[in-house]
Amino acid sequence: MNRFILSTVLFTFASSVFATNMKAPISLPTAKTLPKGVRNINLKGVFASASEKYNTYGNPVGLSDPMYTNVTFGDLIIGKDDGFDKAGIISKMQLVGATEETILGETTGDINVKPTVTVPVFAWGITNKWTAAIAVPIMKYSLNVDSGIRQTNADIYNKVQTELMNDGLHAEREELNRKFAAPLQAKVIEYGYKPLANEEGTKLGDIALVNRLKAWEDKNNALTLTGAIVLPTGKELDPNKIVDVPGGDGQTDIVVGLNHDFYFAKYFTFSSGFSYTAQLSDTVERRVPIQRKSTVSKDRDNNIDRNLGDITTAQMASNVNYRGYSFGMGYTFSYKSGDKYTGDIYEQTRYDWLGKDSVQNMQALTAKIGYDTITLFKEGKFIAPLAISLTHTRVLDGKNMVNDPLTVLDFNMFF
Amino acid sequence: MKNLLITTTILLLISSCGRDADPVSAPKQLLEVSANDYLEAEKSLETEVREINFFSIPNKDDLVDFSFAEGDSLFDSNLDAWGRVLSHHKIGASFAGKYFHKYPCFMIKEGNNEGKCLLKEVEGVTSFIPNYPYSCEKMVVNYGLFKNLVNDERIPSSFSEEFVASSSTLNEMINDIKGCFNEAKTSHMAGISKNLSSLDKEISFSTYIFNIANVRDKGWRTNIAYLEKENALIETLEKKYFKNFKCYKVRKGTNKRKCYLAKLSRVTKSRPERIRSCEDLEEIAPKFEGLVEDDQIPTESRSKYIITDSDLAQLKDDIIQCKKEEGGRIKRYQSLAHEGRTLRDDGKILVRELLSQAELKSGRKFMTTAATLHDEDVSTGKLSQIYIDLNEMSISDETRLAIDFQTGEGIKYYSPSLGNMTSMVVKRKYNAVANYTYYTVHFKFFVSNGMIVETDPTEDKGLSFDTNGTFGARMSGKMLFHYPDGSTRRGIMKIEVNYSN
Repeated sequence: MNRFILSTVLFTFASSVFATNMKAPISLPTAKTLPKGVRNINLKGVFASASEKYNTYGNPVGLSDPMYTNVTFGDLIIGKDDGFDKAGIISKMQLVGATEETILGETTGDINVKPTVTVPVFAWGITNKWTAAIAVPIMKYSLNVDSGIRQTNADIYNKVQTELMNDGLHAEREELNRKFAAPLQAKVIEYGYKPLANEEGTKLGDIALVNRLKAWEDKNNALTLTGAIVLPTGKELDPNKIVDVPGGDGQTDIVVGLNHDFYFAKYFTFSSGFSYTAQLSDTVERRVPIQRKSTVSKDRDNNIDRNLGDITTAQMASNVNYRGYSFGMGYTFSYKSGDKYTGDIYEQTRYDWLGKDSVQNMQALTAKIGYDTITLFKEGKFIAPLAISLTHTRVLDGKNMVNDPLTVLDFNMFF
Repeated sequence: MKNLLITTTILLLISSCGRDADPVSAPKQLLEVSANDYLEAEKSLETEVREINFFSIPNKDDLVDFSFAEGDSLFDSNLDAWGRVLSHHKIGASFAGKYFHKYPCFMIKEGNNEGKCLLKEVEGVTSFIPNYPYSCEKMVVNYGLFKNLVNDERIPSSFSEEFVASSSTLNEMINDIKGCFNEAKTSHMAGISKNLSSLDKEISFSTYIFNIANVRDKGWRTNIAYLEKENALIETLEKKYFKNFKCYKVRKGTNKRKCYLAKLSRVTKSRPERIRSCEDLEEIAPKFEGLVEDDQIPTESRSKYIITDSDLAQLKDDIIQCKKEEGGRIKRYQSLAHEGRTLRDDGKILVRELLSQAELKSGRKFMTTAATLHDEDVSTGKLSQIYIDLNEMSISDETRLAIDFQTGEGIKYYSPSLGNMTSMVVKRKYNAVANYTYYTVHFKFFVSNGMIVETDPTEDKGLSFDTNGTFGARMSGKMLFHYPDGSTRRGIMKIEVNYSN
């Protein structure tokens, strides 16, 4: 019976809940394959949310944390296109006794994303030891986003206002007030981004083709090798959006894995798994940051060489299954190395900023309950072998990792 | 099988339903923006334009070969102007800010310390305006002037540390002099280094222009402010002292050059002597004394023309009281007003210096000249005139601005009525958040050589329109200069008009 839960494992390679990032596990590891000729249709509903994450220091912060940055005079200068405009600000800055480091306020933001990923998976036991599968994730999402400002430096702000008024420059004063009341929205317009707005949509994710080969099996053990390719079918990050929910990461992944099951009692299985995901390099279009603290930029490059960091994952789990009633618990550790971007148009430092905070790690705990009719089917008491399960994952610790919990409703049908 | 299908359908529905993300709201905190009334609609304006400042600013392509240092020999003729402007240009990071502005020398005018320096002004004792050193050598000279001051009761003892350079200040000065010489060797003088990138040169050049313009406006405000103070003080003194005794100078007879209290036909001048200060009053007092009998004065009217002894005593008392009350303030106000005026003129000179140097290096024309009340073009007799109706907030097409765009034709009139300029359109704008209204002005010049100069249309800004007690009416803001070769430069325009009396 346990051998029929392969498709759950396949999803680990196939789904793309938040593309380009390392994902929280949505299943427990297993070394099962389908018997020859048996086909399996598996439907997964992944219910996630995203409002919090672990930052690069491992501290939990809001997903909108990058939107909280100090606005300094230097930021006003660096964002300007030409020397004439820059000089206008420098002059006012000097006039009121400020420097480029003088803080004028802090931008704020709030983001909430509710993605629901539906993943139909079709698997087929080609031989008793070889199972092939295809998974096609489809994501429906709802994104709410807002930005704001906390204007804090009343002294300098008022001095600038007074100077502009003294000079009779009311249009300039008006522009300053307007832009400083909504700095992110002002940048969106100035740099030609799409308006920052709530949105809903459906996107195709990255399709995965998976092969699993049972390398060794005896009464108490099973060892399988997995190879998968994740195709860049999902819609990639839109460089003209400040906040986006991409369908995929736009490049091909090669996944190799090893899974081991140890059946140490009639109803108990101890499983472990190891996988390595090589994210192949490609060429992308991005906005190239002007400064490290913000990726918002007017400068584009459509020929950036990108090499996303590879992902290493280790899992272990124990599972009990009694006449179709199952319960399992697992632990996952994952590590992703940093992303590298290189380009020719701007200084390399600016491309390096694209890959900032991209080293990820994660420790997660997964619990699963389920029921299947396989025992009943074998006893002739049920018309078809079916399985249903509910999996819940919590990220215990991590870096640059969304830490909201994840719930998966899983339905399997074998024929 | 039927149950299976139902179950599958339900699960499909559940898993494919999207969910709505929770509403979000980012924290916001906006500082209060003061709502100002930019328009004094009840006033009327002169038609003659007081001043026009109008020029384009070179961009990085124009400044490839440009460099200068503050106080460079390039600007020998205007070193004093640079010194004065830079003394108000408090940029801490610049060489001048670091060394020269640190030790202003207020020169002592008289007494045992005459010619020496204090760090702060002492009213009546030192000059009003500080003397800043604009070279390391001058710092050495000034150092000597801060040293070895003898006791002077006129320097407030409670503030002596602030006024007189202490030994620790003098030591600091020595260190700064050493630093000044060291840094001067490595050409760290403020200015625009030839090694800068073209973009940095553009930024620095434009920053100089903006900063000098700020100093220039500050000079103008200072000028107006002290003239107003002077007038207010004179008005007060006049009411109390100046109008009590009028001096009609005697033109002939035994009391020639003396003063009578009233006009005497064919004997005195028809108008009294102008008294604008206590010194003026003091000067005329002796002229009321020692008068002899004058047969030109009817005997019964003697008291009308000749001051009595008691009134003379009163006049002398008034002079003492007047001087006490005035306390040298009029001269001080006049000096400071003059300083402001000089600063304003300095600013104009320096901007023209910078632009002319950039013109030489780039071969492109940046400056324009306008005939206004302030810069009247005597040779052509032309004068810029603008007809602004503050009630209607409109500008008549009869407006004509006399400008030389350096086309070789000299100063020409530009006017909507002449077809070489569009109408000056005033747009009303409203800020609903802070609840204030402001106005912008939009127009274009069509210059004969094909150049088009216009108010900034891309940002829908135009020139800001402003009226206030100091400047009268003013239109100021950014311009675009479209040159005949197809290139564009940014620029600045300011038009100022006085209130009519």
